[in-house]
Amino acid sequence: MGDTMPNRSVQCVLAAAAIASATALLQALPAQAQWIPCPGQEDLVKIPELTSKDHVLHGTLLLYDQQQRLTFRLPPAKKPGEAGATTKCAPQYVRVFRGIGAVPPPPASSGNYADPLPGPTLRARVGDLVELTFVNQINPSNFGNSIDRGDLATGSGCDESSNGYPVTVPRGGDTFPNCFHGSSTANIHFHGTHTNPGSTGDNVFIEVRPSPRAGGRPEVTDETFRKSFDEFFEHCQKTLLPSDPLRQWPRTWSDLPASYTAEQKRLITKYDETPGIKPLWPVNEAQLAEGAWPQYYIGAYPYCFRLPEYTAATWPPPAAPRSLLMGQAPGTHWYHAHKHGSTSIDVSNGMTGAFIIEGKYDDELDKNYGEGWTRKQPVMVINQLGVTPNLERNGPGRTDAGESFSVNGRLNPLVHMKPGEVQMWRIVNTSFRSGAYFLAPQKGFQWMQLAQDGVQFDDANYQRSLNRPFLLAAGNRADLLVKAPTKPDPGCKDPKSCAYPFQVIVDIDPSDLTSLGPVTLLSVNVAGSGPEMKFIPQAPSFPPFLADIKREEVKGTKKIVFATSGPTHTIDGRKFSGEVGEVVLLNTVEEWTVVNETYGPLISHPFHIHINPFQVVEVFSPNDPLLDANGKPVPRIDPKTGKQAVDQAGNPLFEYKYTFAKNPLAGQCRLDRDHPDGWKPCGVPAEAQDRAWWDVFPIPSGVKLPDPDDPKKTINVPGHFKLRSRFVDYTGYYVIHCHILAHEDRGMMTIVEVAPLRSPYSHH
Amino acid sequence: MPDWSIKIVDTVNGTAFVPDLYGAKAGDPLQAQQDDLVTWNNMTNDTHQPWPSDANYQPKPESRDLQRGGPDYLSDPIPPQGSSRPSYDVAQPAGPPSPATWTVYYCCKLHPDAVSERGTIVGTVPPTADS
Repeated sequence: MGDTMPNRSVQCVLAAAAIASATALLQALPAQAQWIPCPGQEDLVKIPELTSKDHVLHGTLLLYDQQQRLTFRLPPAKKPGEAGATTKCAPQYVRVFRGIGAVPPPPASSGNYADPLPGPTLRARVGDLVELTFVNQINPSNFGNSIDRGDLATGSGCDESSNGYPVTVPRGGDTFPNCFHGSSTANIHFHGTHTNPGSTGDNVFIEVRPSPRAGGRPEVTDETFRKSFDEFFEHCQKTLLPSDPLRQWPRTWSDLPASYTAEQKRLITKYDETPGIKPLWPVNEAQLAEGAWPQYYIGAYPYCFRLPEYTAATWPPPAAPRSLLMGQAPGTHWYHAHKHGSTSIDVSNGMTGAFIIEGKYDDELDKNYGEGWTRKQPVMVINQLGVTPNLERNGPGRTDAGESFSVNGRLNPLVHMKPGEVQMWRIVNTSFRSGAYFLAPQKGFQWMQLAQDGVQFDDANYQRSLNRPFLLAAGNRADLLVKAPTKPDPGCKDPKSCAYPFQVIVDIDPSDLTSLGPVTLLSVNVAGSGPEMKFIPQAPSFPPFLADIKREEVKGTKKIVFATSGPTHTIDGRKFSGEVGEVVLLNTVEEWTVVNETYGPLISHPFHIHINPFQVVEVFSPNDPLLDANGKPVPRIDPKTGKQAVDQAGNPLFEYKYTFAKNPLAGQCRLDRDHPDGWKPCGVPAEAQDRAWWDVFPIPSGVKLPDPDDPKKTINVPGHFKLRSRFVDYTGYYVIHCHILAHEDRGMMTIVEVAPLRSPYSHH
Repeated sequence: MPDWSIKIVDTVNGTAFVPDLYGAKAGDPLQAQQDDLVTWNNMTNDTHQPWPSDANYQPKPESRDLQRGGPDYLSDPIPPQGSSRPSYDVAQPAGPPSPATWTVYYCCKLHPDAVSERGTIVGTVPPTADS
């Protein structure tokens, strides 16, 4: 990492001459070089935490901006894992979450600029109340054109750059609101929570604009609304009782303290006086008149919601359907900015953090490994830290292959383990774009996966997970028990200085796995001594509400189509409009076929739904390669040359698992070109056996398969997976979207309405 | 690819352009790569508009490339305490031959005679091969 350095002897020879001429050169050179020194390898940073006390997670998340030392890969077109790339660092303005009073304090920076750090880890327990004050103190002037001008009365309403974005196709063709815009306005999505999706819960429809500034300082601070919010939080505690987990409150704006709503009205109407601004207060006013929750806020917002605890010993609960049907799953969840149009930029700036929700799962792990063990385990927040997206750039800037993975703000940090030690890594892929495919563990290491997407595995899944590679798509999480080798590597002379690389492949589509090399996500140093530890023999006991969803529970089906065509990303042929795309009745189970009609470039859009996790019961991936007996892709042979065929770019081609050919190769599955309804997986994909719970799942990309009747033609075969989900406990509006967040910002999102079941007729 | 910010500030010598980097001074050039994005942050109480000039800081005349949406357009007029729009994508001058390094000279279109209101951006082509 860092600038390419000459070897040590060359350094020594050059040193004297360099020093002698330095003063003169400094006079002649520009005062600031573009690049600054990168940090060397550092230990994995311990992220500051805000922890609940007395069953309340009470704290303040401050959003502000700072210049940080970010890394960039050169040449920009080199993909992660490709040979020949170097890393440079540059000071960049980014927006960050920080927790007031979070401990331990952030590490000091070694240079003139801060180093990246995720938002504070939030740590609460199932059943707790979350009371978070969110304060937005971003200085929009530090972010050029993305200064909340989405609501300008004139112009595109989008970020604009001199390369033609957002107007010029193929650079954009984007139109408001499905374009990059307003990155200094924010909100918080509590990803993985099962709670109230509206008002002050996991509500991604609100938009909190930055505080106005006076004398260069924000006028709204964490103290400004303290009295109002204390009053609100007290009311919230008295209303959202643990014994009443289905209650959704606040319901109307008048449930908030009048001192807060009055001040918000004043701030917004004052903002509306800005010349050229499309006024916001009338929008709020219209929503209030309809009994809806207002959209716009300035400076500060209070979040208050409960993490419902499922207490029944069986599922369904005896008092169903009037009692809690799902419950919050204990596990590794996360939070991030989710304002439409700026989710991608804000997340890549680093507006993400882990949200650990503890429960019996942790108790049982602690019982096995020792009191307080789980709280000492590493939390690893992966991100692809960056600034303005490629689409707003021209020429070579458009070829930037994407940022490298950082873990807790550092490239390739060092984790320390003792020989034979078992650690639990809580891994969160908060990247705005790429998945991380974890290759099998390094020789001598072992792992077992305890949980996926914050939902623990049942024991059968846990036992199957030994050393199994896995993919964390953007938004996915995994709890991984990792065991270090019991003996040092014989090739390592000094254990203190030896590090084992843990490698991943940066994945947008499974086809990347055959075309890209691995990158080192982090390294592990194994040194010292300690007792040999064992994997917990059985997975922590499985909560009854996570019982598999049976076919007979399904009351409705839907087909939802994600598609990318050129620069356009849609769901069911439409970009996000603010209208409801799917309606589900409360407390019903549905089975959805989620289809990917993207045929090139191959993109496995990561499907995400808020509020309720789901189980995957079928996966059809038509661009899977045909594998030989050793698990290797079977090369496609060019009949003319007798050698492996290549595409136009010279990349080797492989046979597909699926074919329309009348005489398939051994192991190939034949599809009937005239009956698309019958295009289903052959064999049983591992995901369908596992019945794990997910909240993000990559939809297999479509593929163009050769037409057996005309080799010059191809037939589009979409990929799909089928999910089952219980749409239970909470009514309201939330979203499904692609978790490649630039796609979401540009329209690949729609609203799900969960409507209360109110029968209009009774025969009793 | 990085983004860069240039502050427009009042100094004892008049309004000046200062790269928003640690230790930078008025008039320092901003070093940037092709397709880096540059914006100006106007911290003064006057409106300013960065505008390409020749090497003597004489504003270039209106042309197609200098229209809004053209590759050399730096910014709309920037209101007091506001920031520039659109963001400037550092464009490599047209060739042939296209230079590997170049300098964008600019001044304030609204105050072309103000000697302090001048700046430069030094552009370079990012590496494209294993070098």
